[in-house]
Amino acid sequence: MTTLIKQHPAIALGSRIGVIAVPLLVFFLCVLFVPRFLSVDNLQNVLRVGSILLIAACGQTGILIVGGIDFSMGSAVALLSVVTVILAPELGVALAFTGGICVAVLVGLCNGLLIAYLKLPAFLVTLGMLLVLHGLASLLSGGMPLDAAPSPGFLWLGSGHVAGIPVPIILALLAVLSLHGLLRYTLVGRSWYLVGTNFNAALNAGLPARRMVLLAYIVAGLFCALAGAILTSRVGSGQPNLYPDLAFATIAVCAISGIPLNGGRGSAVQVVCGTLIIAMLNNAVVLLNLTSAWQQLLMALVIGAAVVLPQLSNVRRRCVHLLRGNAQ
Amino acid sequence: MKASTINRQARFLVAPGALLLVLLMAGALVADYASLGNLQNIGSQAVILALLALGQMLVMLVRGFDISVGAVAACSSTVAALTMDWLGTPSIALAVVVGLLFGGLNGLLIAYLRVQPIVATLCSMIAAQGLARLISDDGQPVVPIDASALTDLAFQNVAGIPLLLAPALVCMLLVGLILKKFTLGRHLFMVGCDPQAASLVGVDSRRVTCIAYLACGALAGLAGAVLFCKTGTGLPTEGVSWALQSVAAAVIGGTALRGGTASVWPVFFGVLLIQALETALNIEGVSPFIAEIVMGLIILVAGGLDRLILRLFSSSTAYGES
Repeated sequence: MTTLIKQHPAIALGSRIGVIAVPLLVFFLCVLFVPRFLSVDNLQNVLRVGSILLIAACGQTGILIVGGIDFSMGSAVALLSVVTVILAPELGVALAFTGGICVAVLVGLCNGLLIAYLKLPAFLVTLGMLLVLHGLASLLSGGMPLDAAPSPGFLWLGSGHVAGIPVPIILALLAVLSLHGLLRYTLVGRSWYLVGTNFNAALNAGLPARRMVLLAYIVAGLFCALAGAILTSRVGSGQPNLYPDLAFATIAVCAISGIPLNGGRGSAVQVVCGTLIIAMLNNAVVLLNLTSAWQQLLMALVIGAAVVLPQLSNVRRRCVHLLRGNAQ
Repeated sequence: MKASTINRQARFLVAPGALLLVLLMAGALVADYASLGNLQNIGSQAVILALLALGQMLVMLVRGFDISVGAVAACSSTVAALTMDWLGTPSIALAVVVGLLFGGLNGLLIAYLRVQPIVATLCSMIAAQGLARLISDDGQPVVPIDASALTDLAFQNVAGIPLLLAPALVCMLLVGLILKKFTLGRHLFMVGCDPQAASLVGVDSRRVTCIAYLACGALAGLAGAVLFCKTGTGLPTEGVSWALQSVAAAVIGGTALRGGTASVWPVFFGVLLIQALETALNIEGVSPFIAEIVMGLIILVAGGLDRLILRLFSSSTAYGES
């Protein structure tokens, strides 16, 4: 936090503009160098693919702000999809999705209870959950994808339209707005920042800090459930390997957005920008006909650049400091 | 006895005790489990995990975490397989070099550029996966024309002990020796206990942290070389769950999650425990999905034990320390 306090207002303004400037830069680069990038269909495609990642990343952001981390998302959406498809013939589509969503929220609750109240380390709990839930999903489905009975209701979440706009994009917009509202204007959101910055200080200030951590995991479970429901509807089946890298992808989004993993910082605007960068780059790689290997290498490069470049300015500042004779 | 000593001994006794329990139960319940052949099998299966867990232990000792080990091992096995035809046996040295490069990248990012270990190693995990896919035919196994020199070597037994265990045993001896007898080892413990205090007494904590990640990378590269020797092929998409398993083995083996406490032999027992359990479930014909659930539960229990031991034997139980 000390760096925040010391930061010159101009630098603070610069970094705020930088958050929005980088995705714009990526957009213009894509428009210039990637053929067929700038069309309504393709841009809609970028947003639709990005919306699932964005919703899940909203959940990850809340957790990162309280100083935790969630690796279990990939398996949580898998379990959700399998449960939804199994329930669909008996309960009907709407209730089946509700059941699946309850499962994912329950996962968040379990994570939160273990982390906040049993004080187990977040990364270990959620890594364990990653395996347990994947095992459960595979066990329920027999290790094979289960096809859902095709019905327009089942596919609506993933490929429906409302007033010409794809449903996932609308849901992603709602998710971002609710995260923004939660973080900015509610007591829960404000106290997440304090809990993440200094847990003991939050306890001493009389905040129910453990409950706040638990809430962050439950809210993340909700966002993750929404992402999983859209994903399930999109593929129209229950798969134990639906999106195994979802958690890693959301952490990458947060890293690119400049949200630190040690808690206390992060905003909805940042997540949107980070997701847009990743979604546009992935789309560009596909349009340029490059293999998935290049996509991974590019992703590693972008994450590396996003975390290293801000540090480099620190290094430069320190060097200048040394050259001036280290007066302070 | 001081509380900290009891704490340390209690956490190091978990893995051997649990291993004994699993071996006794499996020996009684599972047919043919207690045979020499099966125990040799467990030993040679455990090599890769032993190397990865050893590296994981080193970075956890300095408060770090490495999720890239599995991907690095897979990538280096691919490099070894690709170069086998024109380099011959020395290609396995190249595997170690690849591991060293990724370890160096992690060390540079984490120790010198202050990037969070999870983000830095996530970055190098994705890079290693991408590189492995790029140099192989988009993730297809790489089969050299003739790797029999290595695969023959891999399945020999010397005095009843699989030769494959040799790299793991040598590395464990080396790391154990360095931790106990060398200044570098002491420095690793000091940095893990308190990086700032270590810096104040003149330890270059960045260099020490960087060395831990370098060693972890080299061990992951060596694990890739062993993988290549065992299978005779380079497997670019292997090792997705190895990082998790290595963390589990290190934690069961008493490595403290908050850094500063670690020992080599308990970690090896942790590795054997995981392998013995997996083999028992496998022989019994239990679904691999249940084995996966058991593995996840082991990780959760290991975390719980770490917490419990800390709570029972020391006074500080503040949240957020670990």
